[in-house]
This record gives sequence, structure tokens and C-alpha cells, in this order.
Amino acid sequence: MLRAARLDIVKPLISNMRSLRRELRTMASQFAASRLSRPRSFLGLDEFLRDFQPPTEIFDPNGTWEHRYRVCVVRTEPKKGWLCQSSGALGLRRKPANGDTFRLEVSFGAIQGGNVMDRLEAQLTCKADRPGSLLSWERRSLLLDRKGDPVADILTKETGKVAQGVVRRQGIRERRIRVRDPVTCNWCLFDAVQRLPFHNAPFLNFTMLEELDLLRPNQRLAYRQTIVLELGGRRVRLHGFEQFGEGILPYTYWLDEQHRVLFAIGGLRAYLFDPKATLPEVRL
Amino acid sequence: MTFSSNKKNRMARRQFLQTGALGIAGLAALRETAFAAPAFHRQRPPNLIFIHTDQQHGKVVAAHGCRYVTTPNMDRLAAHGMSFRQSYSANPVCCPARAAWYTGRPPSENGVVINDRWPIVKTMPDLGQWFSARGYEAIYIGKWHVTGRPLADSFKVLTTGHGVGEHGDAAISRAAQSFLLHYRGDKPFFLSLGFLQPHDICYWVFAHTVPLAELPFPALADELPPLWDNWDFDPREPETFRRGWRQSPAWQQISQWPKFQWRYYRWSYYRNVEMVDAQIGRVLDALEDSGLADNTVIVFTSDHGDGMGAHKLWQKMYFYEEAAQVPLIVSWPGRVAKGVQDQTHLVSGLDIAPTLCDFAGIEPPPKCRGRSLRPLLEQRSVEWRDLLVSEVAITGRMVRTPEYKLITYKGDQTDQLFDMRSDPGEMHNLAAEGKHAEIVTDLKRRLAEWESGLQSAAEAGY
Repeated sequence: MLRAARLDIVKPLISNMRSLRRELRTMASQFAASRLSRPRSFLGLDEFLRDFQPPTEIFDPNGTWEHRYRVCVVRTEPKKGWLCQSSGALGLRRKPANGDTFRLEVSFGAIQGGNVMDRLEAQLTCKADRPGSLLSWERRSLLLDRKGDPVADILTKETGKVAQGVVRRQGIRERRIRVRDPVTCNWCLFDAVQRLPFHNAPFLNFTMLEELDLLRPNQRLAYRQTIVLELGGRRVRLHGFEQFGEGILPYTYWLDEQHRVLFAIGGLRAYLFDPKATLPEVRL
Repeated sequence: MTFSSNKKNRMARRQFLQTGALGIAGLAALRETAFAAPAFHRQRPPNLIFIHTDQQHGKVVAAHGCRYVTTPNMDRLAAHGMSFRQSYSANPVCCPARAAWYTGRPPSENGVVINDRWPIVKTMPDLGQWFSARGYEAIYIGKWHVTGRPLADSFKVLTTGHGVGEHGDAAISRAAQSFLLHYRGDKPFFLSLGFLQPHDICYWVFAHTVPLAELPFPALADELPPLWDNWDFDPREPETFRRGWRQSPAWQQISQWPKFQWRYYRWSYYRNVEMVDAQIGRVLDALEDSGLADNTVIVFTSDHGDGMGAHKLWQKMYFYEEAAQVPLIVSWPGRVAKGVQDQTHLVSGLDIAPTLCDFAGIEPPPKCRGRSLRPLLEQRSVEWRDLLVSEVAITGRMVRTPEYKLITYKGDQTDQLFDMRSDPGEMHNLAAEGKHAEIVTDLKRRLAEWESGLQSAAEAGY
């Protein structure tokens, strides 16, 4: 009896010790990571980072928020060095909705050759689960010419929904594709990654519908490291999550201490937090 | 035959067939009257969609046996059409390869022998002009890169995309999607679609020229493809080639890459191919949804390949298989062979123009040097070429026969000869051994014969 009582006291202590040891190990690895040199994904962004002022407002990833990003094409060429070309903008507005869901409004524009803009607007309803699973959406896209006028006949409208592993997209006709759950999209990941913990973050596996129609199966996202970066003259701790999968080059999402995505960098594209990034208004 | 099989589509097809049957019956009745004009008997020519990627090696398609890439949409094209596995760029460099497609003439004739320098000979028509003048609506979306020939003078242009595929290819596929879904024109169309990817791999290499100490993404360590059999090379290479590659400043660094970096390079290349595959899928879906698929020919190819680390090389501008061989798939539901992979016929980028013209029922531009692939696509018995020539710059030439590949640069003492049956990885230069001198001499004689039939750009009015 006495022995059992002793065990009742000792067991939680052991468990707490283990958890403490895990915490210490995580902190040690984060400390070590924070002393690493700047990761490769920041190559070419020196100028932007030097002038970047990290936001200081209180941020709740689970609440209502609005982010704007400058979309840059980042590349290097022999004899030219690194080029970071401002080439569009992304606006995301999140609002909690009924039950365990939220609405995400997406506004995206990518400047093309001849100053034509590829423009997309979408309204999504998603589950507030780990990957921000897609439930339904409406998407409209068009091209704007150099004067900002829509290019004739280049307008598409589509709606879609996901249920039980089947994506149903309705444009001129309905298309159904069977996919592996959960299904999310590239824009939802900006939300999803903000709601993940930095410590003992889960490893996410999912199917991605890029721009809500391009199928990118076998995606995964996981916490990688914490670094300290000099931003606008201040040392800022950033937490990095990495995404890998079919049809994408590795993406790294860099979050501040409040879990706000400041930078998403992958391949030749970078999304850089910039409240002043704007897109031309269009009536779709 | 279409790419999908949902119920609505089957209904639409049935209705279409019924309408078509009534039309045919009507035409037959008309034929018996004295007033019937021959033109009435002709079926509306097919629409043509020419899809090209940039820098895609012919083997990097899952349907072609590549285990490390997922390309469901290129596979879909291959399953519904005919795939030529011995398909070569007319000149494995962007501008020259594209000028060859659009004129049907080799770069030594059309003048575009290198990138961004000389335009197509002014008097030489391109396919945009050719089709527009013959009753087609010629539309262009995406990368053109035929310097000196203003695109808008030849095609109606919707968007030219962006110099980076990751940023611009989605706009190209969406413009094509929208065009197809809304097309109500009276004329058949010739839609040319120039995707950028997997060309972004060039920027990947520029960004990773310095040897890496460690893999930037350790999580990928188990996913990198194994090192390939022809990673090394036979050093007995032409001096002209060596000067451009093995003695270049970039080579000093890239040749020092650790093995994992070569594997990481190829892994990244595969992901770039997958990026463009999905864009092609968007176009194929739109074509199905438009109801136009049954009367539309699709030709899919790439301007040139990529070194992919074979022989420790990157990019293009040389004749090793990875750079010179490209995918070529042609599909037309019910009209060309379905799901066939042709392993024997040697075909070239020069064959694109005569093939498209043949399907359209119009004569090819004058002095096209290629041949229409239509007999092969319809699986008719036909005598085919047993020698194919590709060019690089002013002096480089590749002569390919079913057995051999000769690589020669005019004025260079060293040639390369590979037995492509026993040495498909091109690891053993037979020309350097003297034993095959007769074959080299014979191939050079045949090359001279081929070239004597060409009209140089200077003669053509340069």
C-alpha cells in the first residue's frame, strides 16, 4: 500500500523530469540553431532585410487578421549577382466563422512581361484544423493589361469543395478528383503554419491544391530551426518551418515570436511581409 | 476519345457525334446536286495546340520510364498519343531551337545560330504568319525568345509570361485555359504555348555554383536520386567543347561539387519538371471542358534538354543526349496512334512545321527541311530517314543514325563517336581509337551531303 503510494508520487516526478529534459534538449538545439549563419534561403534579400521593420502589434493566429506580402522574384545570374525583383503582391484576410472554421480572402497579383498582371481573387472556407483543410471556395482570375484594364476573354471563375477525399471543382463543367486527405492550398498554409507550436511541432502530411486547382500531392511540413536575424537594426528570433513535396522546391516559412509569417521563401519566389504592398483594384 | 470520362462529357460527345452524322448525311446529299462546291466537302481543319516547355530532357517524363518524377499530365498526353523517343532538338539552345520550329529551317539557314544575336532572315515566314495567311487564328501565349522577330507581327499575343517559370507559367496556363473555354471564332486556331519551366534550373545552378559543405535541407537526404551511370566522362572531347565548358570559370567550381550536390541538382530539376506538368494539366482540362478536344491536334515538345549532371555538365549548347534529346508527343483523339512509344524513328524539331501544316491541310513553308510525322502518327508504312543532323553555333554538328552519334566541330582535331546501342550513356569515345575511322569518314561525308542541300543564311538574304 505504502509502496503504491510512493509510486504515485514518483511516477509524475519521473514524467516531469523527462518532459523537462525534452524541453531542455529543444531549447539547447534552438540555441545552437540561433548561432548558425544565415540560411541560404535569405540569399539575395539583403537590401530588403536591412530596411525591414518587424511588426510589433499583438497578433493572434487564431483570430481575425490581415497580412500583406510583397511578392519578389529572387535569382542570381553570372556577373550580375543577386537580383530581388518586386513582382507582385499577396493579401490574406482571415476571419473566424461558424463552428471550427474560418474564412480566408485571398488577393494575388503577379506582374508578367510587358507589365501585364496575372490577378486572382478567392474566398475560401477552411477548417481550423492543423493544415487548414479546404472546405469550399470561389476563385476568379484575369489578366490586366499595362493600363490596368482587363484583357478581353481572359477571365475564369470557378467554385469548389472538398469532402471525404474528393475535390469537386465547378467551372464550365464539374471536375472530380479523388485525393488523399487532408487537402489544403498554398495560401491556407500561411494560416496553418502560424497556428503550429514551435516546440514539439507536429509533422504535417497533406495534399496541396496550388491556386485551388493544381494538384500537388505528397506534401509535408515540419519545424526545422530557430535563428536570430538582424532586421532593420534589431536582432529578431525567427522560427523556420519547411515544406517539401511534389511539384515544389523546398519552401521555408519564417515566423516571428508571435507566430506571424514574416517571410515565405521557396525556389525563385519570396513572399515578404509588407503592409504597404498593394494591388490594383479590379471589378471581377 | 477525350481525356476524361464523366457522364456529362459522354452526353456532349454523343450529341456532337449525332450532329456530325447529320452533317455528313447532309453533305452527302449535297454532293449529288450540281451546285455542290468542292469546298463544302471539306471538313473544318483541326485546331492546333503547340505546347513547348523549356529545357526538358526527353527522358524526364514518368511515362518514359523516369522513376524520380511525377508527371501525370505529360503521361496523359503520352497515353492518348504517340511519343517519339528518338527526338532531337534542331539546335539545343533556346533561340536557334525555336527559330527552327517556327521556320522549319535549320539555324544555319534561318540565321539564328546563337542566342539573342541575329534575327530570322527577313524574307523567311514563321508559322504565325503562315497559318494566319491560310485561314487560321494564330495565338501566342508565353515565352517566344526568337530575338529580332517581333512576336506581335506574327501572332495575336495574350501574354508573354515572365522570365522565371515559377512566377509566370501559371499566368500562361490560365490565359490558355480562358482562351480555350471562351473561343467562339469561325476559324480554326493555332495556339502556341511557351512554358518556361523547367528552365528555372539555370538559376538554381547559378545560385549553387560554389560547392556546398552540406545539404541545405537535411530532410531531403534520403530522397535524392542515386548518382547516375554517366556522371563521369570520357575526356577525349573536342577542343572547341572543352574551351567552352571544361575550361570555363564555372567548371572550376562546379566540377568540385560533392556528389550529394549533383544529386540535389537533379532532384531540383525533377521538381521543376513537375511544376510545369501541372500547368499542362490545366490546359488539357480546359481543352476537354471546351468541347474542342475531338478536333484538336496537340504537339508537345521542348526546345532542348538539360545537362542534368551527366558528364558533370549542366545547361545545354552541346550534343550529349541529356541536352540534345527532347520529348515529342503528338495527340489527336481517334486520328493518331494512341499510347504508342516509337523507339526507332529519328525525328527533329525541324519536323514540327511540316507536321502541323500537314494536319491543317496546308502546304508547308518553302524549303522546310523536316518531314511531316503524320504517316508515322497514323502508323502507315513509310520510308524514313536514317540520318539526322543537329547544329550548335557556327561549327558544331551532331550526326545521328540509328546506331551511332558523331559529334564534330569544324576545324577541330577531335571528334566524338558513340555507339548508341551499346553505350547509350556516351561514356566511350570510339573516334579517338582509330578503329572506327571509316564510320567517322562516312558520317562526315553524309553530313557534307546534307549541308550541300542547304541555303546558307547569307545566300537567303542576310
